[in-house]
Amino acid sequence: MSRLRRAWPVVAVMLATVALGYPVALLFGLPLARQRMHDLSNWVTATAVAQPVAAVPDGGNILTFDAAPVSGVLVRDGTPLPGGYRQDGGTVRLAAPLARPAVRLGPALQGPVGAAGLLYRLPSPDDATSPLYAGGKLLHEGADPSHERADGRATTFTFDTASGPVAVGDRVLVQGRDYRAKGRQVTFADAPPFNADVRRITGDYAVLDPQQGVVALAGPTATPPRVGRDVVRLAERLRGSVDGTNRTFAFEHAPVVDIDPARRLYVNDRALSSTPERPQERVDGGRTRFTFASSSGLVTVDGRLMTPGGQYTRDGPVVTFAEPPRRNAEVRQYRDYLVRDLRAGTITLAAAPAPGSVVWAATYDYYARPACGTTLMQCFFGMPQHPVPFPNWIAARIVPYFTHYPITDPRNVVRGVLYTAAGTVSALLLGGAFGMLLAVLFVFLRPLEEALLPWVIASQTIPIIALVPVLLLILGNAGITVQTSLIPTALIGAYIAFFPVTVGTVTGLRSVDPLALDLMRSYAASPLQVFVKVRFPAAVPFLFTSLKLGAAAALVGALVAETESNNRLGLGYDIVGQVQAGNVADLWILLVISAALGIGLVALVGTLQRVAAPWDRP
Amino acid sequence: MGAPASAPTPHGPTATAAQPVVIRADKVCKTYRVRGTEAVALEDADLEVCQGEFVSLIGPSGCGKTTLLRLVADLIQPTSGALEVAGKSAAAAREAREYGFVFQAPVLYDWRTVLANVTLPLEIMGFARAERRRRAESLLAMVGLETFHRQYPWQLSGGMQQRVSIARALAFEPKLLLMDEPFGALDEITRETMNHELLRIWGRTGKTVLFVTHSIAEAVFLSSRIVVMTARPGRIQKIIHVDLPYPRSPETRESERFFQLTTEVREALRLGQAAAGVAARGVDGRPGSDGGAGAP
Amino acid sequence: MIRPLRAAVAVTRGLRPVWSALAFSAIALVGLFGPLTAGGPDALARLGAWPLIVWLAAVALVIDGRLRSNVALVPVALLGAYLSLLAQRALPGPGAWGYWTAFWAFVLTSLAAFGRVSLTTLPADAPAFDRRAQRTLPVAIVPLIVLLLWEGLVVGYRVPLGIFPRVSDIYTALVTSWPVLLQDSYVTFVKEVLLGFAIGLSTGYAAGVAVAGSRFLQRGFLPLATAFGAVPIVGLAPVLGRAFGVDWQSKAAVVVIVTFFPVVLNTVQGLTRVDPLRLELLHSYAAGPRQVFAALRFPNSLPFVFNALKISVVISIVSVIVAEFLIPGPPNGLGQRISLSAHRGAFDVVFAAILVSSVISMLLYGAIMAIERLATSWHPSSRGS
Repeated sequence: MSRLRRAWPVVAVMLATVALGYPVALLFGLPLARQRMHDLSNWVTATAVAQPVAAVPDGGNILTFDAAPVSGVLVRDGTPLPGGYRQDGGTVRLAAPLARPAVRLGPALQGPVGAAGLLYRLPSPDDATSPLYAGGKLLHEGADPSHERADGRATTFTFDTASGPVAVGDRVLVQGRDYRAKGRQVTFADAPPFNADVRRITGDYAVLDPQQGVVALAGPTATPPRVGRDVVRLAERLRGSVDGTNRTFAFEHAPVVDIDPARRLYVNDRALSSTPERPQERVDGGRTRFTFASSSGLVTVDGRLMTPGGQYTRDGPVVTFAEPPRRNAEVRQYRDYLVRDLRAGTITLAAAPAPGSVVWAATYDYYARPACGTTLMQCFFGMPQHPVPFPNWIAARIVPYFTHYPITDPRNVVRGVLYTAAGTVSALLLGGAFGMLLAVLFVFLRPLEEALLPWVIASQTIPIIALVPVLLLILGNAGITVQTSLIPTALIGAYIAFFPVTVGTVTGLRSVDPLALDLMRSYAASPLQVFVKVRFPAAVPFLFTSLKLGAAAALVGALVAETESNNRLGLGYDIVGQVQAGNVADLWILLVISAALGIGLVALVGTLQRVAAPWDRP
Repeated sequence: MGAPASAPTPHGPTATAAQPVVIRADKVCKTYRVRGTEAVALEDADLEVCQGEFVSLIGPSGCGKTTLLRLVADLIQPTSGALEVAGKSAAAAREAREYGFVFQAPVLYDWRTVLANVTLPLEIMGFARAERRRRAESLLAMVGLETFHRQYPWQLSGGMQQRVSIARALAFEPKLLLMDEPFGALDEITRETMNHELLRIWGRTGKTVLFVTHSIAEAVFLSSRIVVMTARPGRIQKIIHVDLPYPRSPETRESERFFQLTTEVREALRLGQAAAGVAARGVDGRPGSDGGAGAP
Repeated sequence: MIRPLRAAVAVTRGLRPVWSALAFSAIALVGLFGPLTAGGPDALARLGAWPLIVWLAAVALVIDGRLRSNVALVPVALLGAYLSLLAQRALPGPGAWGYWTAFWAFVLTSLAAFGRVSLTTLPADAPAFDRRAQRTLPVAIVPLIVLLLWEGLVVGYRVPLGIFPRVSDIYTALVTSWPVLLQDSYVTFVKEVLLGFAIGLSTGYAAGVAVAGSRFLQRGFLPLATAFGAVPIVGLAPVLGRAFGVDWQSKAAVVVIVTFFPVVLNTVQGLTRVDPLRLELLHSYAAGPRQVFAALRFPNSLPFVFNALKISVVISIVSVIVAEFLIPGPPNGLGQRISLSAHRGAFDVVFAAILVSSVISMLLYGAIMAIERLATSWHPSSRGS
């Protein structure tokens, strides 16, 4: 019982250290998670598009829209509608009825076809982007792609949603016959072909093949849906005062996607071009005159907007800079507008719109949310690799790591440990023997000690690992295969280990009680007898203490040699391998293993000490 | 037992009587429990020390003299009995810094100069820098080390280190000086010189001194009263008044009265030892049985 | 063991100086003109009259035979070896018998002279110069001989640079890469070692104070600290590289950890291994725990802390370089430089960097010893008692 009590503080501190692992893991991981959250390249993009009218109006002055922008403008076919109206959320009250109806219902979809009874065909492929109406109501498109890619063999796929018919390629499959669904997971009877689109229909319908005009509905309808033509849409009006001088406008949704070829902005009915123009001339670091395609626009150098008059002057399409742009700089002209601030979602127009104009967006892409999740903790747990893993994750990896390779396989961790241990022990023996020999020489040949000892001490300041490549090269040239040999390990470990052994043994051999030496002299003992009977026993405790230091040093040397020589049989190779593979939890396990190896070796030396020198109670 | 109410010890030019009691020990006991068995270090010690006295505790090893000294200093606590120092409990006396302690070893701090060692208690007790320096310098002058301010302890001899330690004990002017074999590590000749020095300092400062020693000659030379103690268990055997006049000089050591007193002390010690031996052996020579009041 | 050596020395001394001089000069003459047999007269002629001068001087010193002449003979003979080395370097092929004869003859002469100097028992009234020469000659001679042998063997065997550099190559690399090496040293030694050292020292001392003040922590933490401190760098570095990233911060973290544990252990020892009498003295002054700490425990702990620092400095430098090997990052540390150069086969840069690193480590160690002497001049170990 008392042994338990004595062990309790150690256990408590160990538990506290493990518990400390959690806040430490968070401390290191959360900033990284936050970085990922803020890194736009990790975000899911969404498209803001002008919304078609949600229901076929029955003649009144009210138009309804789903998912309306906060401040919208009614447009049809790229032109804002004249006349006044008031927007109230998704409802727009017209001051006067429209000249033409808000929606002209075109032909119905052809179908249904297919076993599931949900496949339809568009009347013409151009209608792939037209809205569909069924029963007077707008249908919403929605498809959820599978997480996995179809590789021709896999039959199990996971989706984000848990319900909805499943379509492979341009066919809708029948549940029960072609596939079985269990929550978010779907198992197919036949594996979908390589690279096929595996989708789940989440909205009212999904366009399975835009070129062929194949559409799948989510569920059966009484009458097939009809295509809407000349549809009135509610487009997002960009924020900013239209007063004839202001050129800065902002999107409702930000950040916006930078390279967005689909983006379409209008001032009234004029579509704006966002393609940057490159100058005809090379930017060679000395030139100041450049010619562009257009005669007006915004000029940027390396992304910085240049001020006309100050930083450059314009003469038609020719722009002359005050200072030549540096060599190979990015010199661009934007004819109509450029995105000023991605994150804030602001644009700068080349020319200020006249009062009464409306600046609106037909469609643009923006970053909706981080892919890893909406909260920091979600992103934290979603990270593939953590800088510091949670202790329980490390613990969970222990058994798999040890049993990954069977014990007969040389790649097994336990065998690696034993190999490294063997290398360390041989290094220790070699270094210990050399150290003791050197110590004996030093004690008996004073000049040798005085000559060599300062330089031996200096030699210890040479970082051993730096010499490892050299040594490996020499050994390689001497005909030893370093990848499978223990010799480099033993030599390098010995080099690090011999020094503490030398110093300790010299101290020990000299630490003899002078009275004991006088006693020996009174017996007229020979120097060898004095050495064996008096000096050596006195040196033994010092020797073992320094052997313990040497053991730790030899282990470091052995591991270093193994990492540099790519010796596959040892622990060092495992460490390098895990570093390259990036398995952090396994690295922690290796850390504990190497520490345990060190402690074990030191304990081994301690046991030897008790056997060889039982009279010495440390 | 106790001393008479008026202490008969004039020292220096001023002779005073009816001094207040500085130390009062009443049946003080100290037992140690070591691995289940009890060891009695001090049993039923009764002692009264009046102000201005120089009292020595002398006895063989294990007689409890150091124990008694440390009890007075509140470095250890009594198992039973009442102990009053300067009118307060021993603990309160320590908090109030009523005594200065001089150990067997000089116990100087290697990293402080001689001067800094003497000012150590003054720093702890919050004296101002100028005052600390003034006191330290005057005390070092009093012990004859005024040129050694800047030296470090290891540059001084054993005797000089002990003098520094005495100066340090006096730095904050405590009423009481407790000394635990301070000159034990010195050779005989230096010791006699130090004894003389100590008496000189005592004469100038008029402190009460409780002094533990092994040496009979030292006890007789220094003290006004000698408390002879015996071992196993530690107890006070006899209290001897020393009526040699102050100030004492090296010649005092050669006087007839000195010799008589040392003989008396030696007799008392031998008595005590024999009694203890009888008590341990028992009357009929077998250990453990309770001995009578046998005296050889 | 000494007796046979002494016998050898006695024999050589007993030999009449003339005979040993003749023997030596014969060997050296043959050797000196040996390069002529191998590669033509230009090699030797380029050195002018120097070989002859050196040879004559050496012969004269050997004949003389006194202690001071032997002391002078050592560098002179080494100079002779160096001259034959220079001659050989100018030749295209590896060393012929002439080169080796000359080279070894001079080296062995130097060693023999050195042996004579060391093993001579000086009479009691020998002048101070002789004593000092006998004492300092061994230390000074070893690096010279090592360097000379290194250069001599590499030049003689014409070892290509990709295998092993010559001393002169290393010197060249040092001179040309000096700015780069200096920059690397700044990153390694100032940012990684010094900063990590400072953090490890301060946190280690603070932790030591905390542990020393609590029985519970002493029993619980100290055994673990010994265990944690036994983690080999090779295991620790990758983990820290993952946690802190591949730049200098992870290497500094390695130094922090390597410094922390010895400092904690030694601080606890220093704060608790106090002379009990000194403690009682303060107790008799009714000093509070904070006063006891400031007046006694803190100064008492300083020698222990410096002991830990000396151990830590050496281990830190080795660890930092190992860490730079194992955590490949932006190439701006000495260890990175060594690793990159080694993989490229530029071993002259490798050795130049090793040299810089050793010199700086010795300077750091010396700096710590100097600070230690200032701070703990009172401790027995520094006054050699």
